[in-house]
Amino acid sequence: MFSQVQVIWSLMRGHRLRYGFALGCLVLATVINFGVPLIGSVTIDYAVANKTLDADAPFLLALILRAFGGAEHLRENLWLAPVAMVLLAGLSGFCSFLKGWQAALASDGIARRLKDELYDHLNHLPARHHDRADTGDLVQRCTSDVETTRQFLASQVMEIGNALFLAGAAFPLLFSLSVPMTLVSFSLIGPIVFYAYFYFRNVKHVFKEVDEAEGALTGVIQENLTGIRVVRAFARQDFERGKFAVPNARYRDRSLRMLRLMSWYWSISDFVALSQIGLTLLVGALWITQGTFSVGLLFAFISYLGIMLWPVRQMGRILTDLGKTSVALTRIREILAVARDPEPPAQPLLLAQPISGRITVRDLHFHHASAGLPTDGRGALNGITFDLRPGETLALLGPSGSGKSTLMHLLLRLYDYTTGSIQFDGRELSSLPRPWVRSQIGVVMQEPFLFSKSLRDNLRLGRGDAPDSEIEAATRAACIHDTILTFEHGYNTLIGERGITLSGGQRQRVAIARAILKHPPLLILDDAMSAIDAETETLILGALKERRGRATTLVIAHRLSTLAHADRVIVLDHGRIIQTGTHEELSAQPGLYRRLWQIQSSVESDLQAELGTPGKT
Amino acid sequence: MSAQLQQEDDFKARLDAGLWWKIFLRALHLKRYLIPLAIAAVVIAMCDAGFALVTRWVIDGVVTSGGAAPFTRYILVYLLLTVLLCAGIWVFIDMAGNISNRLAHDIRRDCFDRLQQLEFAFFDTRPVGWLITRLTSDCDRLARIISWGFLDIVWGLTFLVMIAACLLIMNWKLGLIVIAIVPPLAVISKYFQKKMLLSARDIRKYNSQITASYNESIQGVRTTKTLVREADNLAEFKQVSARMLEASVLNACQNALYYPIVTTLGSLAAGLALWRGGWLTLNDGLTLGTLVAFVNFAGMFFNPINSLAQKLTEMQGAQAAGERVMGLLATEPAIKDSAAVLARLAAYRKADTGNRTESDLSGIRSPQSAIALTATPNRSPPSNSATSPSATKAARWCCRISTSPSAPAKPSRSSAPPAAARARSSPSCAGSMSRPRARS
Repeated sequence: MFSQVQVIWSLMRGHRLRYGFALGCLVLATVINFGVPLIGSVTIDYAVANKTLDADAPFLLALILRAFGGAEHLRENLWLAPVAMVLLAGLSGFCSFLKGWQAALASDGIARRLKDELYDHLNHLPARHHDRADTGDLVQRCTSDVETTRQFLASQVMEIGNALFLAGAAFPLLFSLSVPMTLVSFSLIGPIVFYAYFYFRNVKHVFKEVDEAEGALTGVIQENLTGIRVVRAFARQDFERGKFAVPNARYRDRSLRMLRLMSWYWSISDFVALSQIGLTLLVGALWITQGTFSVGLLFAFISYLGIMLWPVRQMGRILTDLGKTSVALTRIREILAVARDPEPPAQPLLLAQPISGRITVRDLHFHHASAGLPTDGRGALNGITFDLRPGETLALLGPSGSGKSTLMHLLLRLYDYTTGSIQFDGRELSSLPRPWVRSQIGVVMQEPFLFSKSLRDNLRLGRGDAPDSEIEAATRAACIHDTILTFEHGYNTLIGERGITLSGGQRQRVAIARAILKHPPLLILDDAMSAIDAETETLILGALKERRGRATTLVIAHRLSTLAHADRVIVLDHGRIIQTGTHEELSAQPGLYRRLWQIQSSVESDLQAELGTPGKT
Repeated sequence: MSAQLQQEDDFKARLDAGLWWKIFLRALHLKRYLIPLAIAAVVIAMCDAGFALVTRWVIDGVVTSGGAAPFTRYILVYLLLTVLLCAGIWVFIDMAGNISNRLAHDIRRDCFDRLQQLEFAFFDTRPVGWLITRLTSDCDRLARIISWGFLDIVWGLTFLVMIAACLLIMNWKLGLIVIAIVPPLAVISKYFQKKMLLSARDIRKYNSQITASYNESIQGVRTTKTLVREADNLAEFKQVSARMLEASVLNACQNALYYPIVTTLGSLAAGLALWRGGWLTLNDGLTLGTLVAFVNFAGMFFNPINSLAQKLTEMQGAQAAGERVMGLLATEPAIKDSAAVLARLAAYRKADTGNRTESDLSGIRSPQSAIALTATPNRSPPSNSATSPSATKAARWCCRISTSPSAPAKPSRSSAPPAAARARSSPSCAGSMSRPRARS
């Protein structure tokens, strides 16, 4: 419990003064509100029931009666009581408004800070963390868990303060009215608090289960909606429905279990609270018959119980919410606790100039930590060595899993190599800051990601200050300019999330244009033209050739017609280089490259023949 | 998130009873929970009113009879009311919880089903995060309002009638004075409800955008890293989170202003009862116990009004969510199989079990067969479509082979989300026992 309070306290940093002010307003509102039943009590006893003010009458009652000008004056001007009651209620309401306003500023301010921190942190987490992460679960932590925390900070923190104040201030007030009745009126408060506490302890794990079930459900929904086209293409709707039904039902059942616990808590808690009121009423009535108590005082005590029992009974809910908030915060902190990519110290002078494009790779090894070492002891890369000259176009070829994309990820510092060396202009890559390294590279991935912005904004992502003329030049080079002009809104066309309103080839060409616009010293195309037809591909490669001398280019492809344009080709297999040379050299050598060349040439010939023969499609 | 892609539907400013009725109809198959819930709400309301009458009975008894007052009866009646009330509370939480969770489960399932049927164009303009919000928090919220709202409305109305009847029976003139507070309360409530509805909608809108931003940022994290966009993305996100903060604080302020006004009106009613009731008591027109009961009732009178107003506000606040969810459920797939194709598909399915010949299946491709669609990207879409004809054609074809006739909604018993422990005020002899409320 103490550690949970510490966590909440640390979360409130920067807003504690505001909370203090809100709490002050709440205390003031409560104090003022306490005056209302006293006015009722004085009016009933001294103005209506004609009770005389004894010397041993409670000080507060005597004070209020004097403020009204005495019993006789009040009796003749009964309207004074409602006016005083409304004034006090209004004043209390004003304080309550200030409390709500300030508490909202504080709690929503904290929630916003958390959201911003999480967003920023997620963008800086290592790529390997995202490889394993469940997007739906992450989204749920960043939204639902933050909202749970916000709700607690907005209302429950104030309720805790209120309960503590009531415990500290109400007792003296009530003692001043009647010591025996105060003892009677609070005899069952202890059991209510203990019951709430033990309840909280026992249901904490149920809340966690509910949260986890909700996270799992969100994950399934997210996965389905993200891949809805694949689902439809493979007619997997029924399978998806079945897959969704399980977490949907589990979430319902877990929630029902929690609600059942709630129903027991509230009914028992209400029983004890009502018993407390009943006890006060009956004991008070008995004492009235004995002449030791008055109707007005009984009215006041029952009114105070009404005011105080709520926060006391709320303790169970508050503690429960503290448990929920604690679980939510733990889940949030689990994200924030993941270390960001470590950054080497900045080297301003060294990094002032862009790289020339000279890249040296020596005895490079790498294995994916999450996958573990393969049983044969080989990793994704096993001793790669090559040089890349400024302006040169190097092509990488190899079967799936040969290490092509891994090499690209290492060059981008999305992963860090384990042994060996990569040097940019003689500087070890691992000593260079990641943002700077990435700023030197333009990359187009096989499945390019476009953001749900306009085409123009997507193109400018690489270079925010690019003028329209340069954007157009880049899109012309990527053979997408004319296509864009056919859209109703041209460059201002809004593309759907992840660019889903574009075809695969259009997405790839937009991504190529985005990379070209960046004018990077090193351009990496990772199977970036797999969805583009051969004719367009030739045009794009031609445009890229014109840029030769300006950018060093690394091309990963399976289509050999793409690789044939490269200055040099490296063939990879099982993380090793098995062949190196120009297209002509490799075509002449026996090996993987020649085999693939022969297969692809044969397929191409067959296709041409078929397309050229009417009626065969 | 672009405004064009984040388009929200055009919502009405007033409570749309038709919409809520449609949503409520979806809960009708849960009668075995709804009926006990309604009974529990009525029992609780009667007990709530009963406590004030017991207080009156006890006070008048001890004032007039002194030591001869029937204390044993007082204890027994009070105990009976307490047990009835607590049993009612157990029933209402359990029943409302069942309705809430099962209804949310069903709505979510139906939404999910519908999404599996809709054409690709539907998803082009709706980010995944936006849709996730529909299927998670919107479904939960609607189900919660239907279940707890039903309870509050039944309880609130019954309690109001009970209080009004008690007041008018005890002293109709004084009763009318107290009830006179209701019209200004209704006017004020109406005003604030509208304000709170608008700010609550803004909160929902920004919340949806924030969810979509998280989703996009996680899925596009590699692109963000390679483009070194971390700082720029954060700056864009901060703009949305700032707007969310502004809307949330505005909504909280409206709440913070509304409830003190309601409470003050409650005190005014109690004060009026004390003033006129006190005068009547002094002139032997009212017993002391009845005066106390009047003051108590005057305070309690506003609990159900508060509750009803709060529920109406919540309903108005959730109307946006309701319209979005019901809109989703009502969205018919634009690409549907014709009756002829459905018949052929049925034949195909039958044939899949081995009884049909190829001639019966003309025009329907087997999933195992392949067709090639080619197009030169440079010669693609002539107009406002951003998708090449081949892609569109492929998409439609996929829809055709995968669309199945939608099954009629099955009555189901499933449910949904965790509703936070719902607290209702216990009946109190005091007039000022207010209930903290959850923000809509």
